[in-house]
Amino acid sequence: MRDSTRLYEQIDAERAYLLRFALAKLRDQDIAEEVVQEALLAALSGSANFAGDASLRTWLTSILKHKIIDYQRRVTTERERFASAPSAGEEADDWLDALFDETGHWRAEFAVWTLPDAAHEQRAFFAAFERCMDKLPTTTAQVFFQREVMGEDTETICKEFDISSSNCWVILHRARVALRECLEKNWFGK
Amino acid sequence: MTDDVARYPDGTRDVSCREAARLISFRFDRELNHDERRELSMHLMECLNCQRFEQQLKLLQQLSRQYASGAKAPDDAVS
Repeated sequence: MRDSTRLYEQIDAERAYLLRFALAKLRDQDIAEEVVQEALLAALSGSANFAGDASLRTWLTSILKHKIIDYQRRVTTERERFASAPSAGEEADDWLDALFDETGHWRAEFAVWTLPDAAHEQRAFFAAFERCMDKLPTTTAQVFFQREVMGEDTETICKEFDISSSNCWVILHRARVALRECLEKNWFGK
Repeated sequence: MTDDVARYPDGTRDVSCREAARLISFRFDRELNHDERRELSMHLMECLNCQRFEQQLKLLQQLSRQYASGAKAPDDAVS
């Protein structure tokens, strides 16, 4: 059926987002791919259940969340600790220092940002957004993704990454400043 | 003043953009305490750059949430 073919294509088009989501939770590329694959198969076999009142991405994400929980239940022992967590908040601050003058004031002048309007503009924006997230250090990117994309509270994120709250806030601050810089260069300032 | 910290007449610390930027960002994740709130609001009153920084972070958050829900209009997803 034409409609189901189109839905399959749309589901497949969400793979990259779902992989990013799974990676933020599972922090292992191979495992994330495996779990996304399971979620996509479940979505395809249950596509009749997609009511269309939520966005496709939201529906797929809810399936993926269940698959991630299933996986985490299966792997209850010896869960890998996040090796870089203790140093995550102590990365070099050179790039951050460079944004301010000797009195601590911004060197650059900022403009007001406006939302991308049309669908094609949004698509291009989110491609730039993904490229900017990819440039962040791994921990920073994952913490940011969980906080701002997935909307989780910082307490949950701190526990999951085994980092202190203050460390978590600093990581998020760095992520926002770095993304701001990157998006200014690659999108808003163009 | 006996310390090196610049202060407003009411005693509130005159923070730099660098400190204000941290507070702006922290406010997305936790409540600021009384001193932090005063320091930030005094700074924001006179710093256009930090006002814009805050506006940009709000937009960044809004776009991040949009990204989670699928930014594409359904009819637009497949050409």
